[in-house]
Amino acid sequence: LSARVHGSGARPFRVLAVGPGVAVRLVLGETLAAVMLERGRELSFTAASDAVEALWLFSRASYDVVFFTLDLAPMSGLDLGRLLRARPEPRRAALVALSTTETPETAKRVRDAGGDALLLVPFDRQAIESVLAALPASGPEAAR
Amino acid sequence: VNVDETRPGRPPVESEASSPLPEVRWRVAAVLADVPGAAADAVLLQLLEDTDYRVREEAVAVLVRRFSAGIAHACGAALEGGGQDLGRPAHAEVLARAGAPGRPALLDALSSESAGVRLASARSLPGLFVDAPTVAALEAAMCLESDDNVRAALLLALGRTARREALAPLLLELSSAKAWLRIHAIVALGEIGDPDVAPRLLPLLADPELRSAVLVALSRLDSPAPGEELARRAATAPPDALLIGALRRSASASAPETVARLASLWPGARETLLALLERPEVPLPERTDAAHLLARLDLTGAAAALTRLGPFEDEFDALKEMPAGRFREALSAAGESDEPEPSLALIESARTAAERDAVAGLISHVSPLVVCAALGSLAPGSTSVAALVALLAREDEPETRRAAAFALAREIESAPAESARACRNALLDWAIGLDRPGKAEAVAALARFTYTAAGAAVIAALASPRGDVRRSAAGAAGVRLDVPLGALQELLQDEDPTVRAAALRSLTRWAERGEPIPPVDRKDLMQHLADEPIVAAAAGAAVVAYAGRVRPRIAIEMLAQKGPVRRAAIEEIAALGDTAAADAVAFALPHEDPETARAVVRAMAHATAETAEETLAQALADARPEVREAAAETIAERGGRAGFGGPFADAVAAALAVEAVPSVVAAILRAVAVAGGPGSIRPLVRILTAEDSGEAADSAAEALARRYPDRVREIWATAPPRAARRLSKALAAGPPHTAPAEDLPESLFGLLADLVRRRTGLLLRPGLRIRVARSLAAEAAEAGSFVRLYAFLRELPTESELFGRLLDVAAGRTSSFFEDPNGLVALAEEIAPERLLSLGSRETFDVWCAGCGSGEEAYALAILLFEKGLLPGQRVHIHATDLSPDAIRRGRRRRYGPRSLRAVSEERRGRFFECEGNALFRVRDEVAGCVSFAARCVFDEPRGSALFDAVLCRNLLPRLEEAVRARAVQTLASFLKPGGYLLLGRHDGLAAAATPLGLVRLANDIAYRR
Repeated sequence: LSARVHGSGARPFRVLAVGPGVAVRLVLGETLAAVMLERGRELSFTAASDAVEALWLFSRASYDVVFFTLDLAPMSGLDLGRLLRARPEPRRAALVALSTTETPETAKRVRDAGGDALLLVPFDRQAIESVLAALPASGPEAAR
Repeated sequence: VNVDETRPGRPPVESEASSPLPEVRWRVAAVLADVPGAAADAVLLQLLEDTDYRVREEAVAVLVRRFSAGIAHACGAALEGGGQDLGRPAHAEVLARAGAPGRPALLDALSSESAGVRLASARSLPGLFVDAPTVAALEAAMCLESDDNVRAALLLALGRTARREALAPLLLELSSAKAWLRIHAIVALGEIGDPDVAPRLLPLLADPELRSAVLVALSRLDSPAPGEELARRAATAPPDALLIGALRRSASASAPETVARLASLWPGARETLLALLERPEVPLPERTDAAHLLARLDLTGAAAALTRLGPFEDEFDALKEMPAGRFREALSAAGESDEPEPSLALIESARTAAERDAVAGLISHVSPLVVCAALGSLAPGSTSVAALVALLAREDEPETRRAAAFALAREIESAPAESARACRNALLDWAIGLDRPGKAEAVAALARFTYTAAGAAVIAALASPRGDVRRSAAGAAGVRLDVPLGALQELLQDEDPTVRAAALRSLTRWAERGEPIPPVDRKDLMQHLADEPIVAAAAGAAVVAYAGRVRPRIAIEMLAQKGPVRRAAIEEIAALGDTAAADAVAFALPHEDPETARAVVRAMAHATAETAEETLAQALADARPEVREAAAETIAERGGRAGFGGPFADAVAAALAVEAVPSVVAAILRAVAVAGGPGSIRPLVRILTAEDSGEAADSAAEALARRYPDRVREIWATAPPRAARRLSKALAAGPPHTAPAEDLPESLFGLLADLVRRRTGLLLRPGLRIRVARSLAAEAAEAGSFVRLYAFLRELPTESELFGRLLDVAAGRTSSFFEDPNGLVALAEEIAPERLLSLGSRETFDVWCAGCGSGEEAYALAILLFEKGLLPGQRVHIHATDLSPDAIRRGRRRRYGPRSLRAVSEERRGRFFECEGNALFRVRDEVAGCVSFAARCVFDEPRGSALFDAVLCRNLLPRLEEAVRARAVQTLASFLKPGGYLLLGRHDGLAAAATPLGLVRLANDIAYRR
């Protein structure tokens, strides 16, 4: 599943979504597209069904944000986070974990695995905008 | 890891489960697969919570294989207490993969107080073979559920049931106040696939929040209803991938007049779709949808564009979507490509006389694969005799000569008199004339004609100095009455074993024909039982054929012979139709060699009813799937002739109820269609309604429609929408489809597919049946039938020319330069320098390209190594292998056309290729020098040969049977030097997870390291 929104010609905002089912992926893609359209950015949205496929894709393109679910199989979302952070990147991607619970313990484990933020599912546009705003400088604005 | 817990001084395997090394813990899980008992279960359950994903995956796989009530209970209990991120999904995965036995524990978990437990359970439900009570349980859980995530997961689970009962709660959810839940309900409605839902979904397209979900759902409905609305939308704004996907499905489900209207509603379709196809960066699924839509909408220049811009996800199958009136145009476009695949796709789809007539244009194609398939499909009189004779004279292509000779023979039988006479004269000239290429094939093709001149040609050829001519003549003798026995017997002493084998087979065919049986001394035949395998097998059949009244005893004695003899001897019983001999060998069903057991089963087609029913019932319960499959096929064959009934029919139904192997289910379904009793209705309905059973569900629908038409209406009323559509289709299809005479029967194609799968792991999709039939038509005609060809192929080594013909057809794939450059760049820039440094000055940097197609990937790597300054030199060797001998021949020829070279820059083209005219380029010697080729399967790579610093295998695993992918990864890894790298494709992660290899991230790719 790949979605594109035509914007003003700035470099596309590149998102990799790892693991969520079709429905969550659609909501995430649509919401991000709406946010980027408002910002005049094109969105490039790519999906991976598991962590190894995500790593394979990550080797071939740079992404601004990687959204991943924690309960991926066979390799978990936390393993993915650690592997993504195992190498220095020319432009550091932000890692956002999708979780159905938001406990301090979950947040800590995500941080320990290299994650930058946790997005509680279900989410709405406001939640996504808050997460994007809180990402480190290598996130969307720095990518311009 | 020590599994022998009884040996003193060794720690028990359980103690290794807490080793700090994940490789050791993985090995523990793998080893425990063979250790029975609760203690092993406990260790495996503990490993489900391991921190290393490879260990968890192996533990899940092993627990599913040994699933029991105890494991179900433990997993159910662990769902409540398991680690949130690791253990809980793994426990739920075990229960889900176990199917129906695991479902009660998952359903119980839906009433847990913990939302996390309910979520894990809902995500794993409903599993296979869903019944109405499961839908009711999910609906009840929905009523009580307040957590939005769990509700969403339950909606998707209802969708996965694919049952009509789930429609009501899903449609109800469309009025939810929360878009989150409406979206999940829409996606779930798409999963159910009821086309009647389309009118309910179409209005929701206007809601921007729901649009994408609606398009995803519409693309699953296969309904013509949304077509016009989608075409209008495509015309008003640039369509995205989802809209094109939904429109493609709707157009495919629409009648031709509706499709024409869709095209008129979207005037810019051609430009939009072509623009998508032209952009290689567009994801392949999106380009595939665009390709099919371009063909289906019958847009100008579609055929040329598809041929030029393919392959797509399904290679060139989009060409088959073109309207019948465009067949010649498509054929012409395909014929211009030097690649075989576009032409083969069209040859496969040629059905009408006019289409087969048009195929004649491909006999001048550059690929012998295409020429042979075209010759196997020709309509009589569609090509000139001179053209066929020219093909008969081709020096370096025996397969083309054979196909041309048999095409000439078919012309003699079917073409108008004048043309037939010309063909006959041409074949006779070639068969009687000088010893030259084409003579052997002409002799073989003349065998079936009764002319005196044909007989004289065969007799004369028996004494030819050329082995291939004597072999053809010896084989031809079997279908003639005018060849002297003595002349054939002389060939039993021929220096060429293939000639001796052919002579023995012909003697056998004489005996099969009945009285008077030639006076052949059985002892003369028996001396060949110790000959080379191919001769010994032919001798085994001959000994049984000439055994006369003592055949039952001789057949039993043959069971003590070596494999090839034993199998051929038992199979000969079926060929002779000898009831007494069939009854005599029935006791050998439990033979340890599955092929022998299978031959015994096949002999039951001719046994007495009592013996056959008893033996076949036992065979249906055999532990070996190939034996069960043969039993089902034999039942179908016997049932069709003599009929079955009573308790035996119920045994067939019972076998269907417990069978889990898809190919066996398909075979039993064919048997049930002719032999199953009323007890088979329930398992048939279960298969029909299983969402993931695909072709099996089609067969179940066909069996129900044929055997129980009076019950179909009642089943239809309660069946899920997809199942109801299958039933309607089966009823509308009427009597069973009778394949054209040249086509390979499904059961026999199944045997050939099974042979290829067992030798190589490669899966032959059912759609290849007609391609195989047409491509191997001449070989089957020479062997006498496809049954005989199968028996012959089975005893041949995989590397033989004839087996290679089968692999060429089965393994066809289109490859090109720099398809996925990252792996190559990682090899050239990261792996090669590191390995060369560590290897020292004397060692070679060895790379294996497994599944290399026609060599583009291997040469592309050599180009990159050249650019990095690592070539030219003596220290790099690239070993490229592929199953298909034709692909390897093309690799060695190293001549490529524009499609293969489209990602090669002008600069590289000039530097590394020589232009050979006609837009063809040849790889220069200095690049090609380090590449060597071999036609073989990865499992046949000789042990003790070189080890490799890197193995590149990007396109092979997805085409292998799922069960052997992990074994293939292990095989590839076993050829790595210590510290060597294995590079796989995008979707190969799961196969690699079943091995203990460590995953490493390189700058340009990921790799597994030994």
